[in-house]
Amino acid sequence: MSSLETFHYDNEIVRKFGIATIIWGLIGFIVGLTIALKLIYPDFLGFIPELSYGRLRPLHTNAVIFAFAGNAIFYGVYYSLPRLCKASMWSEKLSNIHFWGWQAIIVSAVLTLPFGINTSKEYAELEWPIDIAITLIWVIFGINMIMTILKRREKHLYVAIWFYIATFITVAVLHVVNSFEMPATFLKSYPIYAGVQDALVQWWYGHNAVAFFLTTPFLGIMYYFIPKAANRPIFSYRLSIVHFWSLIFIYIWAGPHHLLYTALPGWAQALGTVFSLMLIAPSWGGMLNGLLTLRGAWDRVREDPVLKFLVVGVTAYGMVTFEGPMLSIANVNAIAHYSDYIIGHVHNGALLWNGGLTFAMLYYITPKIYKTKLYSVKLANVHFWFATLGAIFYVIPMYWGGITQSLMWKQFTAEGLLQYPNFLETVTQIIPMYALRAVGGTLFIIGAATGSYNIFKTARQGSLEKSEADEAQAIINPAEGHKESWHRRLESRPLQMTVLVLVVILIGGIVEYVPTALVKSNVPTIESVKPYTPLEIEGRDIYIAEGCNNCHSQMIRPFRSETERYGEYSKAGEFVYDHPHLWGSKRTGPDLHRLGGKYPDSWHVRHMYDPTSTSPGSIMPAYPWLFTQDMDKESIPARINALRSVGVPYVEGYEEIAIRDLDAQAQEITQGLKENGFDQIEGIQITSDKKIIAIIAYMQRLGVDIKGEENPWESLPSSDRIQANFKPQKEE
Amino acid sequence: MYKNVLRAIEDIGIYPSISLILFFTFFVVMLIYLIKKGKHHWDDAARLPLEDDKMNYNQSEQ
Repeated sequence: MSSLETFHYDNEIVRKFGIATIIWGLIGFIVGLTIALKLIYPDFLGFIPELSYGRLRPLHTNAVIFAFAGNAIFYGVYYSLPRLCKASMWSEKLSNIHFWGWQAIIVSAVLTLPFGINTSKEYAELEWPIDIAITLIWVIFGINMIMTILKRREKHLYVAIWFYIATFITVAVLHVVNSFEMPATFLKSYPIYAGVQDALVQWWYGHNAVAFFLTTPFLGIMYYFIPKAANRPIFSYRLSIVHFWSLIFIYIWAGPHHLLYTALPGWAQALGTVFSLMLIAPSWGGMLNGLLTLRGAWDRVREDPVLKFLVVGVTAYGMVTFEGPMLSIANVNAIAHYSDYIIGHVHNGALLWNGGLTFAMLYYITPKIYKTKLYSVKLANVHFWFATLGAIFYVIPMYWGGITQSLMWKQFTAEGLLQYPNFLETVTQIIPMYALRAVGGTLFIIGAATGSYNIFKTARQGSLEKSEADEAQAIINPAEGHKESWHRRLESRPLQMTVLVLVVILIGGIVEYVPTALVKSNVPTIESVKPYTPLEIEGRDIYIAEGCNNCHSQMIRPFRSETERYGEYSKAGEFVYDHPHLWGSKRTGPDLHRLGGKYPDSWHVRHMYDPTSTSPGSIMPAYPWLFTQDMDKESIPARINALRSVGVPYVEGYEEIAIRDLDAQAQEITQGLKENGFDQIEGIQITSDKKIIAIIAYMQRLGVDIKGEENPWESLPSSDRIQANFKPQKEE
Repeated sequence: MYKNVLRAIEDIGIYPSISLILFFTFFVVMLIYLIKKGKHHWDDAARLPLEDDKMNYNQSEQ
């Protein structure tokens, strides 16, 4: 028998991630409250471009997902992994590079998103240089984790570690595949995928960001911290094995449920639905496993804030994972999708499941590493109630408002006409619900601030044990135990485990994704669908920069209520030049796919300058800066180049004459406005080099190609020369 | 216009089915295995998180 080896746990890095979790969390919540208030008072904070709804919403989602939950994951992993492995983290240097690198990525998000630098792809909005940085830092985290596991003194890998491994592997795959993009300039890129394919990859990523960033690492945390806090082993270890493998296998398939009734091929939609329904089994298995661990310890839930947060968190997980499969059933989805119901659904998960587990960890770990007791249990209970009530006040109004609005969208009169033909009417109806949501959010923030104060005071009254000693025997003979059953053997072989996890998640990824790549060549080409003109490219990029897709979809589902309201439903072939797709996921405003030609240019001028002038009571922000800021003509050639390399058939050399086309089209629009008395608005001259002209060109182009009535390229100078601009696609 | 998409479905329809069968088989085999091994096979593994609790700076509830 070998002697005991002494080693140290690095509590300093745990502390750092804890502080980052709290600070970024509070910032992320406050940005969330800000945009919630903007939906009630559109002029709240004035109309400053950097603080407009469309730019702040991605900042909010990125902050809570990657900054708050992200740092919380690392907080939990850096605390539990070394203790489960009976080893120090492999490299303290890598731990620190990971910490500072991750914070730098968050800061770069703060420095880009409000300035209109984003890719428009939900939860993957950060531009390409930051994508590369994320990859590097994530790999550093992975190396440090895997090496720690390899150097462990405890032969058996506890179930929490499997979830950590699955998180690392899958997030790496998702992030890399979803970030294939062609840089046009230093901070602008276009995804290599277009339209339907881009949407499928995006939601394969988007849904699995929820699965493998907000679920699996937190399940690992659950499997570690519930037994710790309840001081008893997990209810059923066997159940956790079933839970783990089923969850990671099934989750990866579920993405297409975000695209039901869209132009995505039917088989992919059906597959997404089936696997989403199956997901309820492992999810509930995991939830019950967590809750049943507390059998015989329920009396302590009354007193211990750690257990309270854990129980509410796991219960919320159960609610959300019941809702998820239900929302994936097509006819439920038909009502809930695009509505605020989904916002309620995700906040149920984010506030209570991720938030609950995170605060449980903070309340558990802080007294431990500071060798003290929690500063105030009473205050933690106050936090608990503010958090729970805040979440309830947030979630219920969103459910109520979402369903109300969706039913109003679908309501017909006895004569067969839309009962609420004016979209705005359905918005003003639910503004009281938006107000209640802001109240819920405020309560949650008060709770979080109370909690942060409590944690801070706890730390102040103790002293950090930077390096905590522990001892264990080294693993004497790694080959020992070869007679063990296969899963037990697997549980002591981290590399095989990692490879198996990769295989399991790739099956779903490849089987669902590769056929769609084949389908791409089979997306029926529609001859009248043409690439965007240079001015429209600029307009589309402004649309992306301003985050218009955060409130407006461009995907009309084949329902009568939608075709009556918006026009012909959207076809897959219409999006073949859309890098990226802009289908959107929520309709705070109406769908825009058939906006082209619906209103005169002058309407757009008035509407963008002051939405209430054309639509009284509108909660859309005004965009006065589009009238004063110049469009970016300089990078047009670079952007056309990049778009060509991802497959838009602009002919070689077109970029050199593109500016001429852009100017001509801009002049035409400006001239038309002038003839209608719009050479200026409120004293601001409307000139052809301003952003407003580009965005009008783009909006007037939306959804018109399929009608085949007019060719947007016809009047442009390049059309004088045969095939000077792009190669026409042949109809199949 | 949809015929190409339909053709693609016929070609690829088998893959999801294969993976569903694969998963289902794996799942059933795993269940049988876990049931056969019995409840106490993993008792030591389940106790792993509790083993580092030599130091008792427990929370205020103590």
